[in-house]
Amino acid sequence: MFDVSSVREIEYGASGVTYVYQDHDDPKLWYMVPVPRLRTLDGAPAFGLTEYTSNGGGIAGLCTFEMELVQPLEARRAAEEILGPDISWGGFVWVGGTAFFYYDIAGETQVLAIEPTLYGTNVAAFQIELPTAEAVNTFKNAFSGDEGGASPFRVEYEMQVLTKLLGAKATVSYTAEAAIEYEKKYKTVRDTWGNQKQVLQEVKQVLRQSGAGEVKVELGPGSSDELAQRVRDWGWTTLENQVANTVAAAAIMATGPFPVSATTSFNQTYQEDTVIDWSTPVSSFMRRFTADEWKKVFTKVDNRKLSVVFNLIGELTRSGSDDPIAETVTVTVTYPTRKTDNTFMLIVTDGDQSSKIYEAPGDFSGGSYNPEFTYSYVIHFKDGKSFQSDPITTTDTLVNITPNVFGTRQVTFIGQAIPFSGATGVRQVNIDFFFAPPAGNPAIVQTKTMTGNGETNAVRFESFYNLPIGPNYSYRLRYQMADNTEIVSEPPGALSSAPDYTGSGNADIVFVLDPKGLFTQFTLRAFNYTSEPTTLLLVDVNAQYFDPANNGDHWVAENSWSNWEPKGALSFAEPRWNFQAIDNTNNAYFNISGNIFYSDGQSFTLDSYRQSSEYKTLTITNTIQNYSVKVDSSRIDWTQVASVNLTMFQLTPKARQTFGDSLPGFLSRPRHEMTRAERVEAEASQQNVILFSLLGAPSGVVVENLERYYGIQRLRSEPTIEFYYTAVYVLKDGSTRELEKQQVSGRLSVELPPLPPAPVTAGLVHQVIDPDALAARMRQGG
Amino acid sequence: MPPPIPSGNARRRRDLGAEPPVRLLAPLPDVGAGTVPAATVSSLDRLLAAAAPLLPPGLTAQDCPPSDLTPAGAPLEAAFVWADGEAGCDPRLSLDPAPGARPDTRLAAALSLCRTGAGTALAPAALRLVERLSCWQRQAGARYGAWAGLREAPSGGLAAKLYLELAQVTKANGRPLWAALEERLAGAPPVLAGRNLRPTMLGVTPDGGLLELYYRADPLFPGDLDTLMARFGLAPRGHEVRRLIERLTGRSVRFEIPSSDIGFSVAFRMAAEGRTQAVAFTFYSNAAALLGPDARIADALLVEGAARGWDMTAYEQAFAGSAALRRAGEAPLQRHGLLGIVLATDAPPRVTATLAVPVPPAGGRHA
Repeated sequence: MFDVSSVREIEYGASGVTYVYQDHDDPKLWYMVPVPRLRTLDGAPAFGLTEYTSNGGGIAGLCTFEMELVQPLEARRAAEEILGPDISWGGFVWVGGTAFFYYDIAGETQVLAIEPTLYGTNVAAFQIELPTAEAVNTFKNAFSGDEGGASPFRVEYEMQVLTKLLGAKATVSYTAEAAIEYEKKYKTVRDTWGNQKQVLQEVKQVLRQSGAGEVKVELGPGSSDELAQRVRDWGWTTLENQVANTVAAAAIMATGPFPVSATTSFNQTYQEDTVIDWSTPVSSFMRRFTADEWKKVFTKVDNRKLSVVFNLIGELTRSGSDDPIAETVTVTVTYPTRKTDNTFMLIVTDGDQSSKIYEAPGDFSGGSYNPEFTYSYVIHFKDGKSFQSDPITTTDTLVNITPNVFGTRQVTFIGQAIPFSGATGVRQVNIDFFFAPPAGNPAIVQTKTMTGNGETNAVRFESFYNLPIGPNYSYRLRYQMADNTEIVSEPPGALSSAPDYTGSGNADIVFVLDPKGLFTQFTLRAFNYTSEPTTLLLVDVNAQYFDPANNGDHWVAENSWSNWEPKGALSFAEPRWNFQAIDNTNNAYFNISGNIFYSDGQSFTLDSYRQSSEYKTLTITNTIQNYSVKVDSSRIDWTQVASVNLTMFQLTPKARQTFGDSLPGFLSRPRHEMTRAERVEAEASQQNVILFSLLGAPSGVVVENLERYYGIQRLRSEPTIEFYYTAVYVLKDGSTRELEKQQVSGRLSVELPPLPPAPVTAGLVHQVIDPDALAARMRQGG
Repeated sequence: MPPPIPSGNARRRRDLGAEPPVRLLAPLPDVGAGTVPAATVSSLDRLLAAAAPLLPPGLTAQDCPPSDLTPAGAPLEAAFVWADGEAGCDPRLSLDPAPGARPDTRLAAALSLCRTGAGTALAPAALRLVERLSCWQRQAGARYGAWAGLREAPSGGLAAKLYLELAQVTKANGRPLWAALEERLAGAPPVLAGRNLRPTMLGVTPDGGLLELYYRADPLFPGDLDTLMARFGLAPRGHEVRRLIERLTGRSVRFEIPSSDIGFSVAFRMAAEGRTQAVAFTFYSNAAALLGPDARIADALLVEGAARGWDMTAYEQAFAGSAALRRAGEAPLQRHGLLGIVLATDAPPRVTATLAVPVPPAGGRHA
């Protein structure tokens, strides 16, 4: 394992720069960060610049090229001159990465981000559509002339690798309360959640401007300021990614109407020696082509062509053995202008043949450029079996074939700061892990045990099917304490790192932390919508936090806000409520009781209103009233069922008008299964969305029957309470069953059946409840 | 591209920096002598004391409406400028002379204050500019109209500067009315078409000898700054901005400059025959968008100031004093406005920061 504090810059050649790290234990063993280089295919540079002279279909040109990571011999020589000839070189094992192409058009910097393959030479294929003749000329000038010189454009790889934090201690903290307050305040001008890159940008801004994020670095003796900046960069990246992933998952999995509200405060100190995912950014300028080369790489054509990058992405080898998970992928593209020679092969075992830029003459038969094509692929597995995909029609110019379509999932749990010693420490951590396998394969909750921190004690779950699997999985951490008690920590569910979400394909790493002492906040806030004449006068409530999995029927923490008079449009009840808890958002909840008085003389009683701890904010407004229904999962037949995913939501007032009684069918599917257009429509029409992931138990362990609660909002003017839900049961035999489309009235809780009958017309359950009857039920404690 | 995020609170920000005005008034009073220990009287105190007699009396009234000049709603803002090897912090003041008033009323009040501050009428060229921009403001509907600026001149006394809102009025063909003026000042066609650059304010000294054009922009890369500087005939120094931002934020800048709310200004010296010469480029960011809440902004500036030997006394005192701006029962408001990096021709980079400050009582010393 390399020592991050030993980084040294190595200059080589005319202008090359890279970095080397010394091994933590062996002073003669060094690691060199490889640098980007343009690939060569069959002796020619993997580069093409095309100028469209008459009909570009909206663009003036196209540039495509492929990069790879290499360790230049001259860089090694330069390093050995400094470090000595008797050193040896180790290799990095990448766990994630992104490649960036920096270029500028008319002096305006642009950056394009691509996910490289994580094996072979980490090939990254770039495709840049050039909108104007000026842009084409800029590229022509950047890559031609001045033979042998450097282009002004550069490529940077930022690859992640596991190592230990040395020479410094870092504390990363996030105060969700500040971010939530900030988000609400600025929501009207900023509402772009849902896309990972955008989310990350937004999260960066929220973390900075709201003051919600903070990174403190303490240097060890003899460490340099440069190390401090690198550790700070790493800390901020870690912080931003953690929050961004939560936000992205919340948006994609629809666990909340305001994704930032789904985030939880945390404060984590990374001591020296903690295993972390370190990033190693390194860049190099691209080169200009010789006159002879230019004749081959630059072409002028009349009409725009179809050009699509096909990539195999992610970890496509079995961890441990490094065996590839399949042999080849044969892709067939259907497009009107190229009906023969339209099949090509990507080779899983060869990183150099893991991508393909597919081209065809542009189709203008409809009068304008037709960007739509259809592709399908056949995966050839090592055991001779194959999988034929359905045809997929798209206009995307980048097609990533991801590990989950190969049916592979690899999730590694690494203990980061678990106190595995002492009388109050942790003896071991049992990790229950589940995901839905392909139909017909047995679905079981697997359990493995972690007994130490760090990579050497890592616990890995891996599955290899020959059929595609979905991107989501769930897990539960059961900490067996030294005093023989148990602490359960269960997040609401995780999305595998498909390229849309993060950069590591299907090889996720989950860092496991100390189970105790999660800094938890609850925020009570009030809105007075100016559209309503009636305002909030007085709020008088008490809140308790329950974690039945860890504390049974007793509340863990309690707080009261007495005689609070909300002022203005938005106000927050003081003092803010902070307490220590266990990270168990999937089944802990808040229980809130009290009275709300309005300016029109009316009042509303919250009596045992309960909401999932996934929401750490309760918003009281002058337009809605809050109720909750219990989700009764006690009847689920866990002898047959492995997992249930329950999605609950309400419709926006506008969507209720638009849809009436006929909701679009896609609303019954999880958001990660929706198309982009459907997801946009779902985001606009669903509100108060929550996902409960109910996980069965591994063999020999009794399933805890934990109550869950859905907090519902009712417009004060509405006579009834309405909401929708859908549940997908994954059976132990690998089959799935869903609830039948139906309307339910007169029932005051959500009762999940032992097992939905099969076959049924799967769909949404529309439940309608009388508010007074529900309030009476809530008073009785459920 | 997401829209810039307003800072601090619901009030809108001002696009403002400060460049040296030129006219002089009477020597500044020595407010420290004989009254309080000299060490406690900062250069900002001296400036505030000198400016106090010029300030409209209504600014200190309890019922003075909040101003759009600062996120905190204060009608007065101090700017500090620091550079390695330079003594002091060269404080300047920006002022809303008529909080809550209509833009045309404020423009008249700002004009009057500048006249008084400069001790002379505006030069014909400056007046023509005022008339032209106020005409655009009437056509397009202005937000604030104008602000006034005051600073201490190198030889003592006060100098003034007038800041005029550049209204976003367009011709029938969609071209902004300011486009011709902007191109004439720049002397070159626009660049960075994808960055949504738009001039929003013009600063002018009473003698019309120095103009400063302030722009807002979508997020920029350090390399974009070089493109901008080249357009104005200035040497490319984007790397200096990047380096200072890295020092202030403690992080590497690999992509866009890490702020959602940024802009820049270019100062022009008027030469013979109406020609202009760019003499300074200033990168601006909303301070909170770059560094976070007030305490973190102050911390970053004080750490950098201590490391580089800057005189932070006046700033430190003003920051402590600005806590008085918080009104009872209200949430804390953002007190810092902008943070800038000034690149004047052949000079080392300077760092500037603006801070809302309480209005001193007329004729008295700033507490």
